Amino acid sequence: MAHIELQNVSRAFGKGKERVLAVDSVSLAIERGEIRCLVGESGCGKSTTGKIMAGLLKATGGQVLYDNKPIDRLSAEEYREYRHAVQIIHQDPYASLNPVQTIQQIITTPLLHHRKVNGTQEAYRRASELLEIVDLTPAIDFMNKYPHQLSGGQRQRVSVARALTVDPKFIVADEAVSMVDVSIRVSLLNMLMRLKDEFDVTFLFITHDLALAKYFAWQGAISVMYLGRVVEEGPTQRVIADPRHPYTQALLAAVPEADPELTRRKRRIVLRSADIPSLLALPPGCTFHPRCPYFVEGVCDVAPPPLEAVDAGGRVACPIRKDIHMSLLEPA
Amino acid sequence: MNMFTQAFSSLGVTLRIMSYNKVGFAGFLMVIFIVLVSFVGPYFVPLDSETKVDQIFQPPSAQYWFGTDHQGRDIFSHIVNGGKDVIIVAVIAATLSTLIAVTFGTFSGFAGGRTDAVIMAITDIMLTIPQLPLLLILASLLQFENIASLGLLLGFLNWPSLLRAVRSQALSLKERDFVEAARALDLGAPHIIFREIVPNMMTYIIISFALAMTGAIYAQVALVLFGLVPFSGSNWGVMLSLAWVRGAIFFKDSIWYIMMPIAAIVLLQLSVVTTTRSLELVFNPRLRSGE
Amino acid sequence: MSTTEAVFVDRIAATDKPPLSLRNVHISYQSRKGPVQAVRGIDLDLRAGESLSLIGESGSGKTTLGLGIVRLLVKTATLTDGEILYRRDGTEVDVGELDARRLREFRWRECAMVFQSALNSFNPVLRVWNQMYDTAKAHGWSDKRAVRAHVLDLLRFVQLDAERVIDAYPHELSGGMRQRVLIAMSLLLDPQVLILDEPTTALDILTQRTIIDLLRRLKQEQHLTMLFISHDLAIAAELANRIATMYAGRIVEIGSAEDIFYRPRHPYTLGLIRAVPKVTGDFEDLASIPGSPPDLIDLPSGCKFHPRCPFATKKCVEEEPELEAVGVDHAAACWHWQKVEAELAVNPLHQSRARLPEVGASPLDGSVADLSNATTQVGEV
Repeated sequence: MAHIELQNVSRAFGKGKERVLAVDSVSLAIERGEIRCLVGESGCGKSTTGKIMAGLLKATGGQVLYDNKPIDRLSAEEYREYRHAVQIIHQDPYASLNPVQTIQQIITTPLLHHRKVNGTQEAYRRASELLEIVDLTPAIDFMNKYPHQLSGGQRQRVSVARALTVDPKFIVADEAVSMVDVSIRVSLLNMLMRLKDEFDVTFLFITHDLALAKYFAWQGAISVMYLGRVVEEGPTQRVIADPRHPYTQALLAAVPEADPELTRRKRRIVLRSADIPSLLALPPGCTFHPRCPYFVEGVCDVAPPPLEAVDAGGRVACPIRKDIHMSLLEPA
Repeated sequence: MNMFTQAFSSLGVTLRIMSYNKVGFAGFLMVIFIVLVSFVGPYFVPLDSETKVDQIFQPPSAQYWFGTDHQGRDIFSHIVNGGKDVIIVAVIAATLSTLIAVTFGTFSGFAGGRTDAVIMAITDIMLTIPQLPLLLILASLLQFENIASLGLLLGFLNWPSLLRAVRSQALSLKERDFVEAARALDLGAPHIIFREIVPNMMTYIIISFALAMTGAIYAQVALVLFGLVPFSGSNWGVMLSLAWVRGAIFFKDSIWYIMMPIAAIVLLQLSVVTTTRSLELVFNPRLRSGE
Repeated sequence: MSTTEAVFVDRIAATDKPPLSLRNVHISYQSRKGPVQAVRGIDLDLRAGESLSLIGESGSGKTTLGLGIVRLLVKTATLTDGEILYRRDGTEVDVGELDARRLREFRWRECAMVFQSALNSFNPVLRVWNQMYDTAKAHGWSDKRAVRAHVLDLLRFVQLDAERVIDAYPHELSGGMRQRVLIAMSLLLDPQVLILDEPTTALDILTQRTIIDLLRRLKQEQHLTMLFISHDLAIAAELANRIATMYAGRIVEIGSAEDIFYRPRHPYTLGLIRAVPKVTGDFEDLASIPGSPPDLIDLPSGCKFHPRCPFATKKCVEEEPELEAVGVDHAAACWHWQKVEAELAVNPLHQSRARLPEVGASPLDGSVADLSNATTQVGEV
């Protein structure tokens, strides 16, 4: 039974001619304790998908299941439980904390509001504990500070501590380390990994950085999104080493590597067009076809290809290329 | 006793923060000074209501610090006694209009949908009605028992433009990540409005309060000039209108009569506006670089 | 041959002295809390035809230095010491001493700067053509027809649909297209040196790749001298001949790209490389650098990296090291660079289970963070 499942979920924005489908018939199932990465470029709908899972946005089509129950059919009590169980960490450390509240206020507010503690003293104690869990030690150094007095990485840790106040079981990390210094990112990710192990939290890690996705979700799975649809999905190790969908292959080939020799040896994939289609005017059939080097007229521009299972593991939405392995490195 | 000392210490902290901005703190002290002079001063400087025909329009001297008016009365005493009414009306008007604007503006922006549409429609109608003529008509129709009712009237007329501005601030704050985080944490709409959104608008609110005060002061003066406010006694607005009517601007020596109330009004407004710079520091911790 | 090609001259043969030299450059900002020392003594030669990458994170001073070279700093920042020497055809000028007119000539005609492709690098109410022409006119070139022909050539060179883009407004263009326009604009007056500040940040992966390839073409075909400022090591690996890592306003290591990536000798460089994941290949352990960048108003004593350094000793707290040779054309500012070399012999890069040495070896107190947390234990590989 999946922890959270999206069945044919769509989300539309705007009305009439301005209507776009940020998320288009996406089906995703995430198991308890799993680490899933949702990767894609900007505008692919990954953030929207994450917010729909967290209950912050409503799906305009399809249904969302929490522990196998549709969320629009949960009782008030169960719905509340679901909302507490799924928390979100935002991307921008400068916008995710209320600038006029101290760290102490930020953490103790949900504790007191939901009566997780008895009184302000216990709230202070629990807040200190949470700060220590996210490696902000000694907690007392941070309690009376305002967000603008902390660094980006420290603010993200406060965001995580705040999310932990309601004992979440599922955390959506929406580009949570993208705006943090490179040298700090790894320690944030390691801290999140520790949380997963200690508190058995399921993770949805949304990112555009494939290398970080590979690191964080090595034991988990990746779903690749393009213009609102999932185009490939599978165990991280398989998707990274043996991508099947042309878009995934193009992405992996395009990423520059922090290693001059390695980056020189990467295969260069030339796309047919550099234009990114607007969501207002999606190409018919497979939305990637105007750029795809393997485009077949009459096949790719007719009907959107379904996600189909692949022997190597996972699913791919490309009937033409899904069973063909391609190496991402030129021979040395 | 504990609450008392706590209140005092937070007052002390607030004052210390306000002192980080020198100009603002000077303005704050000036406001305190003017308030003291206007409310406590009259006990020490009684109003000179004695007509002295031989002392008409005297320039400032050792005896009459600000000179005398068209009836030979001491202007200084009039200034000291004339601030109370003006300040009370301004404060009442500003408080009322700010309260209406903030409550309904935030609520309208946050709730959206039909509630928002209705509140905005009312606001837009109010905005299109010309303010001064409306004020004059209402003033002439209503009876003013006391200055508080004048304050209430001015407050009821002043909120529309402020409400629009507050609403648009609320709309943009609503989209901020920390508000979404509060939603994810299920902290509830009242908390989000009053503890997340409004505190981030405080700078705007206090500046609007200050400007509402200055607007109320001008409105009062306009009403008095039009003779619609049956105030006996003396206040700065009355002094201004009398000075105007009595032709004080045409005499070299009587210029003091018209200048002093103007100076007092300007000084009050200036100090209120500069105080906002210190108040900003109290409400927005990011601006405090002195700690 | 188009006008553009005719205009690009082979520069390598013409010069043997570096076109840009920085000598002991110091830049400070005035802030309420005191002077912020953003750049503290940079000595750098930008050699003809090379691409040098300045790598640093927030607070390293790299952007300040880039802006300082073209003197585009805010009023509160000043060049408090040092010289910025620019050379062309045998003449040499100190950019810091140029008057307003010569400075304007220097900027753009000699040394152009490409900013991030954000919308606010453009005037939103001007079409691309107008911005280009305004720039040309401001530098003394007002022949509309010639400028237009040249602009069209440049837009084609950066692989844009020239006719369409030249009359477009900035908001009508995508991020990648805007970045190309900025690159084209920088080439407008045929500068000798190009400074690029985070040229691919905020761009999508596929778009980023096209810009990287364009810059590589610029480098290889036109032999432009380029200075890349970035926090992204991968960009440096793609494009740079030499790399300089900056920390707290100084260059802490400088060498060829191979030297920096395969034979780093400064603990900060080593820490950075170990913190950046690669997408190709097996799983690799990564490690963060503990602590955070220093407060530029209140810098620590001695070597500014010592609070975060696993190799730090008492000497590091007391004296700040200067750059010293650690290889051929490779220098590092570290008292213990040999320890870094030894560490790499034991724990080569690009392998799992990389471990940093125990903190106990250093006589410093607990202010150096506990590094045992920095090693990951993720999964068995």
